[in-house]
Amino acid sequence: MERELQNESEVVPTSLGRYLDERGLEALDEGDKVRRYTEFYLRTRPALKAYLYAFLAGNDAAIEDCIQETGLVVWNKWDESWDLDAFQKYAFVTGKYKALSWLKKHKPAKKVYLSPALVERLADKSSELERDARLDSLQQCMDQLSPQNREILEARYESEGSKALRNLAEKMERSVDAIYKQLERLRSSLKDCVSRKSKLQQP
Amino acid sequence: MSEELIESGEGVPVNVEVRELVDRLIDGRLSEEENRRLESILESDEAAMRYCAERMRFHAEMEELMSPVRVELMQKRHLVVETKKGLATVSKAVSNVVRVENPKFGSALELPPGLKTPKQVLGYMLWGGLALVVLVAVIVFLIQRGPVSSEPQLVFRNASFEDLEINENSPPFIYTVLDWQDYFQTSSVRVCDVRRATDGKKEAQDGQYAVIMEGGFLTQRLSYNDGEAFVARKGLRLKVSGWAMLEEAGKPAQLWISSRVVVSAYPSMSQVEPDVQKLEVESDAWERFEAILTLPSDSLMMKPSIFRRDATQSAVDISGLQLAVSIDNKSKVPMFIDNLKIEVLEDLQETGVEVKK
Repeated sequence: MERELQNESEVVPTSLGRYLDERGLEALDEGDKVRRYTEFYLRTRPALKAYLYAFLAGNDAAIEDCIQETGLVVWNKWDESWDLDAFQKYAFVTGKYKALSWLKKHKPAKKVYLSPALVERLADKSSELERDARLDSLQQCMDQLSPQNREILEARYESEGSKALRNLAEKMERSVDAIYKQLERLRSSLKDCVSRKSKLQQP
Repeated sequence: MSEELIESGEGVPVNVEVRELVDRLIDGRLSEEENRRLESILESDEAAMRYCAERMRFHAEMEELMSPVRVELMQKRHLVVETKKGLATVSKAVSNVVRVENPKFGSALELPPGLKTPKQVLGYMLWGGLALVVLVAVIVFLIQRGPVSSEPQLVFRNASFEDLEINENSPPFIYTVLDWQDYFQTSSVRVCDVRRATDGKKEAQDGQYAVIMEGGFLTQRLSYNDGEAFVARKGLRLKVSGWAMLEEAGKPAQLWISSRVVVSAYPSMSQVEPDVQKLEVESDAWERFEAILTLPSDSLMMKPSIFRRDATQSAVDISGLQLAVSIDNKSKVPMFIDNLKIEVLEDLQETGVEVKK
């Protein structure tokens, strides 16, 4: 179905949890190459990001750069006959080399990383995980959080991580370590919540 | 350090220390000592490794949910209205560009990829500049080399006898064999629409028409495709080929291929025939024939082989005279000829080595 566009260019905000019925992409035909690629790319991002954490944990900007560069490489190599699995496998291989290339180029001195052998094992383990995102369940779990806990998560994930958390700690008159500890507990609670919901949804 | 056990993703318990270390790794807060400790745990504990991978995955999902990418669709519609030959035509096209942006970092992926970053633009400019340099070098080379000569080719004109159309409502024959029989005429050779002439039993070898020879000859004075006359010279070797087919199986036909020079046509006929090749056509299906015609390499002073009885027979130097090829059906057996070709195999010409093909 082709939408009537009011302007020549229209901005459609999106969240990954709704990418399958994304109104923005519906403006394109189902067979449109750009649409198919974008869907695959969006569905691959969380798994690819997790995979790249093995190499670049703690450097979110570098991870984002690698994801986007991977996206370009995959676009150039992508065969439209690929299914999602083939797409993701190629993205993982490309992502790995992008991450190694980033490390070689930037030689981060102050960052602490796991040994290369361990990183390889961790990345392999990450690539074995179920690749379908559980974002709908996660959204429901987050909706149950208190405003204060929500604020901690927003500081960590929506802003410039550590700086925002320091500011928040100051505002809440708590130590930074205490905020991180709270963040750790929140992750665990949310993870448990998602696991419970996933089990309930299983037939 | 807490020894409280928590569940890993698959229900395998890992201790709180692992959880703390993994979260510190994710948040970029590991000290070197903690890093070594985590490495030591992950190397020996498969459950901890699994937990770490899942925790990273969960963290990635959290980030994607809390700081989602923004998909921006830019759609351009092109509508072109134009008039061609009095008819109005409308063409339309839609181009789409999807931009996936991560607002947190302000970076974006554009699909299909365009020229976005200065680095990319510089890369394309460098490649473009290199291509331009190569192009200029090639042009300079070609200019220095001089004009490229598209050498004229020796060809038979109307080689497949398709140049003159036979009216569908007329008999399937015409006696005009365009570009052939320059000096002479014969009623034994006609161009025919093969299918109509044979009631659909046979087809031309190439196109729709062929000649049918009930005796007689086909002759053509040779010239290059630019119209320049092809003249006799010492040491020439020509290859004449084509396709022949008997109208009916049975008695074979004698096909002679010869090179000729008409020394004089009036008042008395005089022709020199430097070479003749004698072939036999036996089949009522198309068969390919080929003949090599050679001119002497020592002297072209030759006696006419075709002349009036009362004319003198003194030798004539045929050098520089236009060469002709004659294809003769020396029997009375009707035979089709089609798709003729001629090529120069060897041409010593003046330098003794130059080959003009």
